[in-house]
Amino acid sequence: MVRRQTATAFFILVFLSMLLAACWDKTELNELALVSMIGVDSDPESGVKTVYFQVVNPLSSSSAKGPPNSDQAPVYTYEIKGKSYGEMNSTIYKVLPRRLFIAHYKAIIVSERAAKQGVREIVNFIEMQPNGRASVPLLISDGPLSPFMHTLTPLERVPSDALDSRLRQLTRHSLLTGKQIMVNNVIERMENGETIVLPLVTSQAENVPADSGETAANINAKQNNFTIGGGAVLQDYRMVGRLNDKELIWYHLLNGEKGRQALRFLIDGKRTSLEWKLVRLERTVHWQQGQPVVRIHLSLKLSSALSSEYVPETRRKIIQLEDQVNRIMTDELNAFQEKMKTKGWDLLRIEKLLQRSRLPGQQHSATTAKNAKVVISVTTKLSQVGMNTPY
Amino acid sequence: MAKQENRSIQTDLFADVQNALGSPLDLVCRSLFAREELTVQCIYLSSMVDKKTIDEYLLKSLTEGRFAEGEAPGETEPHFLRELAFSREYKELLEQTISALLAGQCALVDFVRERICLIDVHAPRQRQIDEPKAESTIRGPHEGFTETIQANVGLIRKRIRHPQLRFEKYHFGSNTQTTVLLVYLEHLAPHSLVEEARRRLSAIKTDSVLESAYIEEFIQDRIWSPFPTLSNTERPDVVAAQLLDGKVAVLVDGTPGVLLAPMTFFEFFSSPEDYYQRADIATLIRWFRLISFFTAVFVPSLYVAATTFHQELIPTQLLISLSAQREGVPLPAFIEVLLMEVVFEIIREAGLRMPRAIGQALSIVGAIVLGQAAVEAGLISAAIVIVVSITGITNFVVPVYSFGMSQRLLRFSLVLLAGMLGLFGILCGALFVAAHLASLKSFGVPYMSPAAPANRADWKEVLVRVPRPWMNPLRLPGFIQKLHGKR
Repeated sequence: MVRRQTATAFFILVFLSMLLAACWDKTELNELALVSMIGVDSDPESGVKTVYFQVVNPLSSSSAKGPPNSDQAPVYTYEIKGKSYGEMNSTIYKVLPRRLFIAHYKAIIVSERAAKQGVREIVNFIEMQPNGRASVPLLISDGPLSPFMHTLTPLERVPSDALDSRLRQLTRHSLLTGKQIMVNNVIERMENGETIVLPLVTSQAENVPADSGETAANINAKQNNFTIGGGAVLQDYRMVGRLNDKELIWYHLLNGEKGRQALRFLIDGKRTSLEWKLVRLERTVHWQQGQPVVRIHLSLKLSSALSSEYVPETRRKIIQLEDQVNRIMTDELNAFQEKMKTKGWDLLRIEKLLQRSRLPGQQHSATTAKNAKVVISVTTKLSQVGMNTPY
Repeated sequence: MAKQENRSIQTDLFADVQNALGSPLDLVCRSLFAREELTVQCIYLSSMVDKKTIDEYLLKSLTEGRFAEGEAPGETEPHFLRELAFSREYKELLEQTISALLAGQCALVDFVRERICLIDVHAPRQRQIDEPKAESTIRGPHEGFTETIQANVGLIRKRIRHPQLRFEKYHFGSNTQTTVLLVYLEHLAPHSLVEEARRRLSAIKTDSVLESAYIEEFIQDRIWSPFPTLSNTERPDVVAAQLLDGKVAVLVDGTPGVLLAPMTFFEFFSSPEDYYQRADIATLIRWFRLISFFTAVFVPSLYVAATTFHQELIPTQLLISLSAQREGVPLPAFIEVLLMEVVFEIIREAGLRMPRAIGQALSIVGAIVLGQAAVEAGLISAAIVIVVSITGITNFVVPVYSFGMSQRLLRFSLVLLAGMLGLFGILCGALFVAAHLASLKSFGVPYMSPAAPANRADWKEVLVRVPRPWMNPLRLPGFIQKLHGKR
């Protein structure tokens, strides 16, 4: 009898809870503003912060299935200004009719001037979001932020997809970007006192068209687009300088990135394109008279498949080519390392390496790291030869 | 005195039978006279008997043969069952005669030797043996059980020609007097299992049995459970295979549905048809059945949970696509799924009841036109149609129809839980179901064996269909072996 009463009470409770529709912790999909990209800017003079939320327009993407159609833009950019990032969580609803949902955003772009002031607050702002993710790339804009947030990119549905996809392709097919550019990598490496490099984006937009259809109809993909190139050096959450593309390649190579990269070398008086891929990176520390000597040895796999100017035809010529490449790369890398040392950027993470491999009882000091001797050597092995009789 | 009684039988018996049965149309009495004296009365119910047997064997031999020389029918007659001497009490004679007539027998009242001979001329009206509609097969026998128990026994005997095949007879239903047979192979079925089946069958008290489901409800292990603890099939090869595994079957007269016990959860995913095709294909299909079960049970609830509570779990492109579909849809996803599932069930039920020609049209109208129109009208989103269709199709993959029913019950409960509590609700529901499954038993066998209690040796039989040369021909399923161990 008691059991039956309990069961009846249970079912009544379940039924009543169903009636409490308004109290359910549920959100329908059409109540959400799906943020695809976030842009953050900060005016150093007035202290006014601007956050751009690029919100996906689901209707456009479903009907257009690819390039944005002329009727509706695939994304809408909402801009909100304020003295602090926290207050924007509320004031955004002055313009945004749906609940901000940033779990699916693909990229965060910080303006150069904001990065120079420091990204610590921005990183905290992302971490504070209840459904925000830290596994998205953090990029620095070369110049004002507004054009990026109002540029539609071709081929991909939304600009953030284009950025995300381009970064992935670049990581695989070049050494112009690395994998350690996510917000969580930034936090982790900044907290460890490391110096990091984040990709720079440059806007090609001359005058941003108001109509998305105009962008879609333009055959020139470069026009009104943005490109990824160069790197922003960050120390203690603050942008301190830049690297050009060549320096980026050496930086990523010395940090063990495994992407393929092709460069032109002068071999036997001829300019020839050679592609390489890192096979192994060895970093060892030796102590000579109390001073550390860091040896970095790179083993690379070479390919002359892309070259038609110079084709090694004999074993001797192959060895000759390998030797020449070894020498050129060693020189370039040492020069790069020296330059970075002069600027005071520990981009090779020497300090971290010394901390790990210090002698027993030895005290660690930043000066030791700065004075450390770094010897870089390169060994290449030609594993692929292109056409042996080019037309 | 005896003569007095004889006279009474001669004059009153048929009239009394007629009264007792309410003068039915099919009651026939044929009288034979010798030298103008009534010697034999042949009484039968014409709707129950084979008239040809009566005419050609009984009456012909009586009129042309021995009867001409004043002899009465003897015990050498075809289908002779037993005799009732006139010396018995009149009331008893009358009752025995009536019950024999109702069982399709013919009562020959022999006034010469003062006895009533009961002769079996029963010819039940039966349909042709054809393929069961709900359990059709590509490769394998196409015979199905019919509504006649004798024919069904024949179909089993045809497959198992073993002297130890046992048929134990029961009669249930005070009104229907339905014959029920408990079938097993004495050397394979555990004694404890047969005893348990006997005990449960003997405890049945009912006024009617029209289908094996009546018996199933009496002998099943638990009333309040969505999972069937007995299997139900119309295929004799399935019954034969299960009997050879040491199980028991229950045949009920008047229905092609045969009950099988004990059954475990995982056995519902394997079909004897698995053994009619290559082992690798059978294994793959068995996995598909398992996947289909989980799809049928969990997909609608997962859809509700993911779209209303855990949007971050959905891949971005899919989320955008789903979001676009939901633009302008007035109903919450939970109500949408519930509504479409209910409509789907109604269409399915209507399709079953409708005459075949209309039924097909109805299902097409229901599935395509209604769904399409609802999407276009903006009442529901297109994804819901896909979810409900996938669920509907996967529901039919499990070989046992009754197991499909339990999937439907689970699906609705999980959708309710997902609508209220999201993934947490689904998890609670799944844990509750898992606990319930672990507590179930079928005729003393744990329902979740060989998973719980774990028996690794049997897992391979569940997860893969072992090629026949690798099977041990004498090996019974683990849980049957355990029951043997108890003996």
